Amino acid sequence: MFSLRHEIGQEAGPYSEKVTQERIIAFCRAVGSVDERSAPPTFLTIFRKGEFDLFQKLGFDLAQVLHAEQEYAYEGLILAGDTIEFKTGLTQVLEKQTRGAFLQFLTFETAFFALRGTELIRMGHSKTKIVIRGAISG
Amino acid sequence: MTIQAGFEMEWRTLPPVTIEQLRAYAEASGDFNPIHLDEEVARRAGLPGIIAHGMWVAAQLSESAQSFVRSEPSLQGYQLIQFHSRFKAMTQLGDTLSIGGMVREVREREIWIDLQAKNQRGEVTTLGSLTFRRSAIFGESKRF
Repeated sequence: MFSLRHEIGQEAGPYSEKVTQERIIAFCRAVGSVDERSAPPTFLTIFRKGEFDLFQKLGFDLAQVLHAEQEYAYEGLILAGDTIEFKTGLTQVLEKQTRGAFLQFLTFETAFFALRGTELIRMGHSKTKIVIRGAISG
Repeated sequence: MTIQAGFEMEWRTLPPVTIEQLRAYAEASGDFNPIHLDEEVARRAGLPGIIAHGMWVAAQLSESAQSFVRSEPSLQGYQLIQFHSRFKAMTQLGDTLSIGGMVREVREREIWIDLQAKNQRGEVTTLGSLTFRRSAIFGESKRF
């Protein structure tokens, strides 16, 4: 397995996704949220396309990926009808040798904006830390 | 009554994790990683079997924190500004998670809450911490 350190700075996006009432309700039901009027805090996870595209671009198998940490900073409430624009980058790579296994911890950061009228309003920021176990395919 | 640091939330135990739940979560979140859906792929990847999405468990932590904040009269008008979760151990199908939490710190306009998910063996699978801040506009108006 080779190091991914030289890939720091890789970016994906910007992407644009429409948030519908149906999507918020489906997410609320999937996590057992009692309040279906607003998007739950972890709703931002639906905007992970940039991460998944970067996983593919960097050539590792999704089955080797485990979620290690997730951080969200909230600056606004996402509402049904919003169009969310987001862009993701690989910002950190940490390598660890544990019990004979080579693990790489990758941090992806995403900034979220809502397009309201002609204005882009900052909605928040996420940091996703994943660990890749074992060999990279391809 | 004002909430103080050290206040413990009541534990909430969830029903055992099912494949239907994980499928619904995959659909709703767009995370179709096969280790959450396909037993064979999960085993080939060296896992004990299908494991739950970490973010599904994280959502259970934030649900607990939010319903606590919403039900607490002295915390009306508080908005979530930060949520950090750490995934410590895998959750497998059939596991029963219990969610507990404690108020870590109370400041003038902020409250910090720490939560954890434990499985039926008492292992901590997920840690979470959330910060809520009293919004200047909503917080003030709702006090009257």
